[in-house]
Amino acid sequence: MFQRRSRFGFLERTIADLAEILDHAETAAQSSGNAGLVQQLDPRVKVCGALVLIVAAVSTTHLWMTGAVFLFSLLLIVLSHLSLRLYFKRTWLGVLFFTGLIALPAIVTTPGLVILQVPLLHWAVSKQGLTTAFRLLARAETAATITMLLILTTQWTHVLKSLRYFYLPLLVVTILSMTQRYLFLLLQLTKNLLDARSSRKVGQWSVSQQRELSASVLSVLMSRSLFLSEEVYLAMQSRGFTGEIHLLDDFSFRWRDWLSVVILITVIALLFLIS
Amino acid sequence: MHIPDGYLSPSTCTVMFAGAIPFWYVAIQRLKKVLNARLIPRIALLSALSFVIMMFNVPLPGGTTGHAVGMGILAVLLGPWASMLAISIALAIQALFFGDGGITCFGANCFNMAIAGSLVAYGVYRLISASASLASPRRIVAAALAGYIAINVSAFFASIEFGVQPMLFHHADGSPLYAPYPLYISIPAMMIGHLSFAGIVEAVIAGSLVAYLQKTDIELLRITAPGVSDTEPAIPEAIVINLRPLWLILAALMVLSPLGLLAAGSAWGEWSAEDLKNPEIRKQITIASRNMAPPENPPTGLEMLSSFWTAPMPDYAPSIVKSPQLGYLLSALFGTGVILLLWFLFSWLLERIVSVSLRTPKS
Repeated sequence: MFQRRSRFGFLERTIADLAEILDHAETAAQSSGNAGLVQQLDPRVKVCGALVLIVAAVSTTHLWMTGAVFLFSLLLIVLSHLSLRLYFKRTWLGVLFFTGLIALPAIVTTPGLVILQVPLLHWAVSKQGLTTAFRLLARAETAATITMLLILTTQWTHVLKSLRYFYLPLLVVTILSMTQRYLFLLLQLTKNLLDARSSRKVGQWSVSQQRELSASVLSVLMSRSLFLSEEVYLAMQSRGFTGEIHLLDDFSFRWRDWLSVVILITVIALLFLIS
Repeated sequence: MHIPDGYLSPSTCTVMFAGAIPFWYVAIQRLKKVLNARLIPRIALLSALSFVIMMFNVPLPGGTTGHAVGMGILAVLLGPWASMLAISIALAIQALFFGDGGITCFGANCFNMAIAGSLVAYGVYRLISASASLASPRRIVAAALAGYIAINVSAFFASIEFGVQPMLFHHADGSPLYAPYPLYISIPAMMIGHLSFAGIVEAVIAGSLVAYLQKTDIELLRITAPGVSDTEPAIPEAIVINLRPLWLILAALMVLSPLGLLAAGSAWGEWSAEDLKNPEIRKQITIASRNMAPPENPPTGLEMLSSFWTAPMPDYAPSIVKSPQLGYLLSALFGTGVILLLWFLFSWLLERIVSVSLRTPKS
């Protein structure tokens, strides 16, 4: 027990998390360049479409409709040449674990028609409880699937740029893009710091030593962030930044974008009409 | 605390968006007014730092996870308005690119963590630090408490949003349509973890980073402390308090504590379920309540919750002690001892935070 805890301590877990997040970004960058169906669409259509599908999946009271949106997303995943295995590992399993853990007690705490008694514990499982838990899980899985579809099929810079068309202030889009750009630098820096400490680690660390390490790592990160912000400011000035922000708007609507908008509206309208 | 899609109803999400928009609007307007080019990369980089801080995830009981958000340190470094923008941007990147926190719940997540969190953190920090010098240890305590209170306020808002769902949105068969737990479950489920753990993580991070800045770049603390000096003035001798008389007064009060036995009956409003059943005590309650008789039976909620927790020393009388006077005295000693112990523990923790933060960071 003790060995297991020390093998997967704070340091190793954080390094693994950081590696996973960097790997996730790299996978997204690669898959957004694939020649799939959704990758070919205009980012504005994708952002808007994702939002419409998520709202449809979340707002309906019919489980079958959430299921239909999920199946439609599955079809898009296949047509975009995305790996279902990757989806299972990165999205579905994670949501199943997290939401499942939260939804599970609802099976016995929701009052209603009792359909089962848990042996030994004598807890009553109600039909309403089961429906509630399943509905929550279905919605969370569907919404996460659509969000991942957007992320894996669109360059992140394009997602941010397309937000400008939804009347987001230019200042916010600029800060958002800058954050996204430097975030990976900070993540890589954090990983390097922790890797460096991990490679010099001998024996077990006490809890206070781990706390000391997190405090010092965060202090270094804050220092570097502030230093970097000054450097970026100087770089902006040296390039003649006068306070005017300009974005390159190179998106153009093509026939397939119009077609996809029509298909999406038809699918959603049909689902709502049937329901 | 990041609420995923599907947990809140679309109408709740709309209300939360509507609640967040005026704050975002004011924040952007204020930023434009004081905008200098230096502030843009600073907000962006601190937003990225907030993202990294949020990655230090700690599992909590009850199926949720606890993590610091960085609202304490960001409010200290940027002020409330820029801080709410920076945290909102970090949350947007998490929701859009990493699927952490829902897109439809983005307004709610921002309202809880970025808006309420930043405003509370800034308010608490300014209130406690007051006019203390930039190098004062009081600023460390102020930042730590600001982080602790802010993250708990955020968690409380989230628990309310969860808890109202089954009340407002349910199917015809009675099954909840969104988050299934009512307020009496959602509030303790969220708050226990945040009060006991996530709050401490946030406090430690905010306190440590302010202590570190005091050593390395104290000028950064001036943004949220205008017009105060850099160094702590020497404490005049007259202010140093001699604690001996206070200890003597405390000891005397403990010895005199059995005087409480002279007061007859229960304090008004502190009746137990048994008191409400006892005809003699019911008479006393009626007289004390200006002839308004209490209900025939004790309220069911009171009866149910009264058996939830049994105090180890009910009525200030440990079961092993027969004399009520001695019981009172022992209870006073025990209670004072626990308070002093907690205070020493808090001081020791604070000292540890400061000593850890003041060490040279290792890379």
